Amino acid sequence: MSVKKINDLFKEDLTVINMGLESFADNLREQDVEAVQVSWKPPAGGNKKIAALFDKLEANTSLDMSRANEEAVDRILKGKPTLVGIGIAEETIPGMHKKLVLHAGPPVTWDRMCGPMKGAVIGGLIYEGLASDHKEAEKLAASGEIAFEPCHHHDAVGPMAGIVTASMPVWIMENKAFGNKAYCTLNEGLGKVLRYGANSQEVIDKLKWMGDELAPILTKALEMRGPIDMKNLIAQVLQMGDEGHNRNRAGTSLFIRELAPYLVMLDEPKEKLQKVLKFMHENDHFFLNLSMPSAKCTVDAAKGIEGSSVIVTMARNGTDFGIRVSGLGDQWFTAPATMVDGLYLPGYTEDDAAPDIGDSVITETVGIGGFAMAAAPAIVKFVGGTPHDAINFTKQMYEITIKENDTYQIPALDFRGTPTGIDVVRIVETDILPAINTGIAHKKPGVGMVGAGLVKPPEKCFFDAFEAFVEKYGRE
Amino acid sequence: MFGEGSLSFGVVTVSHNTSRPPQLRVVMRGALVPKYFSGEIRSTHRHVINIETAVDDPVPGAVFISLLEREIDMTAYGLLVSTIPGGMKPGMQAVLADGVLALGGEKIAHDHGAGVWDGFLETGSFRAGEERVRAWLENALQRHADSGGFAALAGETDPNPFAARARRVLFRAQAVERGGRQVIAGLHELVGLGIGFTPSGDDFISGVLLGAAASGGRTGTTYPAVEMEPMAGQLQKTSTGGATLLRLCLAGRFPAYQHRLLKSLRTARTEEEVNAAVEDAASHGETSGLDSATGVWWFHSRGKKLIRPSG
Amino acid sequence: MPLYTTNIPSNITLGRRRVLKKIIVQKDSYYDSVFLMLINKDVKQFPGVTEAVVSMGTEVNLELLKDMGLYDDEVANATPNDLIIAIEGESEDVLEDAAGSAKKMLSKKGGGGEGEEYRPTSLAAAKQAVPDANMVVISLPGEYAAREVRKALSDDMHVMLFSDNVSLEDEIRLKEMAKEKGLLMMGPDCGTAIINGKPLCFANVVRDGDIGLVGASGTGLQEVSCSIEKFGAGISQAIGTGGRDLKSEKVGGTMMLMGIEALAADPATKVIGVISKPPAESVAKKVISALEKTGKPCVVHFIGLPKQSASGNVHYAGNLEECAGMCVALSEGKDYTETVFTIPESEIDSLLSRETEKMSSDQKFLRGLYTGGTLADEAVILLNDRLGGVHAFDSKDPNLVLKDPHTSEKHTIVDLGEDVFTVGRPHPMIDPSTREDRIKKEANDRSMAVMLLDIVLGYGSHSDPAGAILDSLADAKEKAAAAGGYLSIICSITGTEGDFQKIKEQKRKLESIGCVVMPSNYQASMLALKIMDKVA
Repeated sequence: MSVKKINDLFKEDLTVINMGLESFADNLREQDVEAVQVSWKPPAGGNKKIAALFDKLEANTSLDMSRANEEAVDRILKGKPTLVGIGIAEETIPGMHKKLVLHAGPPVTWDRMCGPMKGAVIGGLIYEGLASDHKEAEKLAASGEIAFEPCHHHDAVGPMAGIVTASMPVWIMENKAFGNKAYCTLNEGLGKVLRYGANSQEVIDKLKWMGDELAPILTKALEMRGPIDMKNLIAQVLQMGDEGHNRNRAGTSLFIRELAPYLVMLDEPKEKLQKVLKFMHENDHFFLNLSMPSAKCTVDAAKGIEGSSVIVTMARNGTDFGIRVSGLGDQWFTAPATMVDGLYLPGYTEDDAAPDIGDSVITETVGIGGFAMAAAPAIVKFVGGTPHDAINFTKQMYEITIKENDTYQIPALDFRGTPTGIDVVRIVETDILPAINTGIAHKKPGVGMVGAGLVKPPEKCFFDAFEAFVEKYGRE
Repeated sequence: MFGEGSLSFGVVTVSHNTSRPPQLRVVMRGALVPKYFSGEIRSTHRHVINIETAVDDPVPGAVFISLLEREIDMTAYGLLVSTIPGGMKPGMQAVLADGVLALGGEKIAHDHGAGVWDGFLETGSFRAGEERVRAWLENALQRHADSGGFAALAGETDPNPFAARARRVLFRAQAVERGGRQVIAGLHELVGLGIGFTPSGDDFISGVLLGAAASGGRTGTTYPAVEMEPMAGQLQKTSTGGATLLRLCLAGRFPAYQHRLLKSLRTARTEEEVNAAVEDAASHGETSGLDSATGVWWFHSRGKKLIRPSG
Repeated sequence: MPLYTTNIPSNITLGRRRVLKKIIVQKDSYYDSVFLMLINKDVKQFPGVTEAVVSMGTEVNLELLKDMGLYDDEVANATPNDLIIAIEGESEDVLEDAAGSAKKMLSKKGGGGEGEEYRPTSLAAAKQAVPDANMVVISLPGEYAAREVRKALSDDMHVMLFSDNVSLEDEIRLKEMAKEKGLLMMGPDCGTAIINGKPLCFANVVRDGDIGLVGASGTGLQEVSCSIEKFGAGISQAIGTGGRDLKSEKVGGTMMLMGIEALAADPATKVIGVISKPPAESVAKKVISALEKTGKPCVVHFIGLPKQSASGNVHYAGNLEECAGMCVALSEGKDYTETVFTIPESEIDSLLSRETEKMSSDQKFLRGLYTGGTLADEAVILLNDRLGGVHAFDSKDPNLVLKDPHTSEKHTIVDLGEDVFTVGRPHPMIDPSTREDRIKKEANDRSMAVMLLDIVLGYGSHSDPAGAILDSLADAKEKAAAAGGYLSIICSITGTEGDFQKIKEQKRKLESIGCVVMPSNYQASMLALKIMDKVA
């Protein structure tokens, strides 16, 4: 037995953390010893059931959770999301076929889908030519002929309703460190768009244009330029006032900058090129559909690590909020989606709001988005008060994550790395839920965005996941 | 996702408070806490924040709704959270609306999924027999005659002027008929009498009600054993702390520490256990616990006989 | 907060005593009852205050105050949430003092608000705030303590575990983990340690030096370390192991062995001292063997075991003071001469006659009222045989077990820190009132000849242990004298000049009422023995 560390202690200055009787800390300070008093609370707020679960977990001494989590986080940090191309969903996304519709969030059936998602499905079916009008599309959707599956089950992610159908073009994102890929549609723009449930002819037409013109042109430009290092881009945009979920203006600008020199060299009519550039320029959130698959392929590398309590998926479908944990395989833990607490655009109130929806919370899962709020002071005005609040938000997130990111840094926090590796055990222990900021859709399909704000995920998911984790890895 | 045209941000409608969402979760919500209230923080202590607001039922008046972090402090006017937030000061506004409690303009806690704490007691018999427990209680209370509260009533001495007055009031207590039942009248003169932020008299009365409730039925379903009307009329004559306690007990909803007191007395098998229960009560407040225990003792020594002469 | 005070100008004369009044009305007061009681106590402590009433301005209370003559216009206008402090006293000065003190208390509290700065809410958050933290002191409730210890150890921090009620299984697991990681896990139930010269929890300020101690007993470590200072030397480290470390074979002295190894490797430590109650046999062998391997001079004191002769570098001490004396001698390279008293024999003799000459023939028994468990144990061991049996709460001899721990029988020594005495009350080292009560009770027993006491100073202890019991001790002596006898009170003070309680002042107070203060618990017990010999 080595006692070197004890002998080392004899040579150091005592620096004490005191848990319990305050007088012990007071006495130490009187002798010039640095002593920090912990304002201790029983774990899980004294919830004996949870405390018993913790005991069970600890009883398994062969479980090295911290090592498993360390591995998971390292894989996330090593990730190299790279944009390698654009493809058609059916040809590119594993398992995709004509009668399959992918959606955001955990699994949900047609009858349980919220308004905006149903609207988007209808639009998607019409776009695919499987139905000629709304009534037909509805009937088809309800008939059982169409399969509905989460984007996440096919290595994909989708913002808001997140509907992906066979003919849609998708970004192809490759994690060069581990070889896995992720896919996402191209962002249609703002206002009346499919992802908010709009499905008018205007929407269908735009989708058609994207498939016929936008995607092929961008593909050629990308081929000419070569793959784009997204990690590098995201690191830059975090220092330019973006956070990758609700604020993407810098990202969109940088992306245009990357492709412009190649677009200009393409053998296409000027008007078409101009339309493409204008389209991207007018949509501040164009970059979102790139940051999302970047996050997805990065965090996917941490899936399926035995004994790891790192959360690898968070997603909502407008009805349920769901999470998945690395050491618990593909199991979803869901609970009813919550309402967003936010600011509304003129003319709208919280009565108009749809519940929280979309796969975009994959950005928080990897440590940007709401977790990097301190990087985006502009956001703060809309989700609460002062830039100081945004900083406090991010600071709180450090309590439930495992490491600080080594590439994504926040200038306002002295370039501290973003909180990375959300630990479901820490969430239960500290009673701190992940901070998510998001847009708010109108509850009626097709109206569009009505506001934005902060949303607290339902804690039931995390508690259920924790219970399952203890069930699997705990011991009596 | 917002950002739909930066111009729109200059003219945004605020549909409700835009400060960040609450970080705490209300674990238990007292059944008498109104769905909506607005008030002011009156005091902050290590484990409690007291908010004063007004209620109408059964009579209009001020009441404390307390933010608590220890279950033993819970009442039907309480909100139990895992940690009392720091930085709260008397004078700050307190608002509960749409399931969110805001203090000083900052959203502090939400109550989605909070359990309801009603404060009703299940009653039952005394394991060691009512008379024996009463006698042991008497002995234990006499040892605390010098507490400054009413414990001295269990003996012969009057070590403080408040207990002396209380003795005279209790001597005059009698039974009257109200709504077809016999109830104890005259105790309303004890409201507001004595030391402590919740005066001893109020604690004593709550103990009498506790003792009476223990004698059968689930509390809240039986009419209180003490005459209601004059009591309700006296609420504004005592401190807000006292009034809050009386409102609770008149509704049959007793504070958690009184649940514990009664349970200990009911399950006690030996005098030591009764002594321990009294010591435990003595550690609550300064004399509150002892004064309520004294009320329990008084009910079983005299009060009961007033309203059930044969019992 | 508006604060009105009134001097009622006219006096009521009761007999020849003037009774003056001062009333403070504090509007809108939402203090808790505990604070109100403190104000009450505070005001009443001024001599010359004949009555003080602290209550809320409810209607009924106002009536009562009126009846008592404590009334004026301000009081008349008081509302139920106003606080009324009414003071009756013998002079203006007294009233000023009392009222001033109350007002000071009120102003400190503000309007009933308590501000608290941000504190980390978890060990992890604390470590983030202070990444250099190398020691975690844990005094949480036992059921939660083990978890936090585990977290601290896995985060590479040493632990002092003050909490008791930690299960044996947890202790074994945690010490295994600590052993594997090479970290200190002092405890559970470890009350004393001195690391790098800094006292932790209940410990004294002891001079730096080259004697390293490892102890399974809190007050044992305190007594030995203070004695070492008294002998002019100092200590390098005092490591606590928790009471069960050596007693349980399953724990097997893990922390003791680690402590010994660390001190062996510590260049600042020249001599190693080990203090413990008798360990399990297999464990004792391991400990001795470990000490032999250190190659440094070592002193072992297994409290209660007869002293053995030295073997190699391992020496054995027969009592706590001797343990200290032998360590000091070894550190100075001198030989140790066994002594009983460090006070000249002539002085002992005169103390002896002084203490016994006025005793009555009724006085036959010794009563030891202790706050330190190990010190009580030491006294019992020294006195039991010579006195023909000393009753104690947990005596091994069934004939000597006290029927009622609160009632002494014949010769009795009690450790008032035992659970049975501390139900609902703080430990007597923190709150002397438990011992005060017992002293008062014993004082009524005419058969008591000698009262033996320990006074423990240092961090964690009361700010004036001697002063707190002085009145009751003086009363006890008076009672004995009134009954035609003499009560001999013998004390020892476990403390150093560095302790905040001012050891010289403590000694002076005790001697001022005729108590004998001996340099150590051993000498106090031996003097008590001499007195009992003479008396019997």
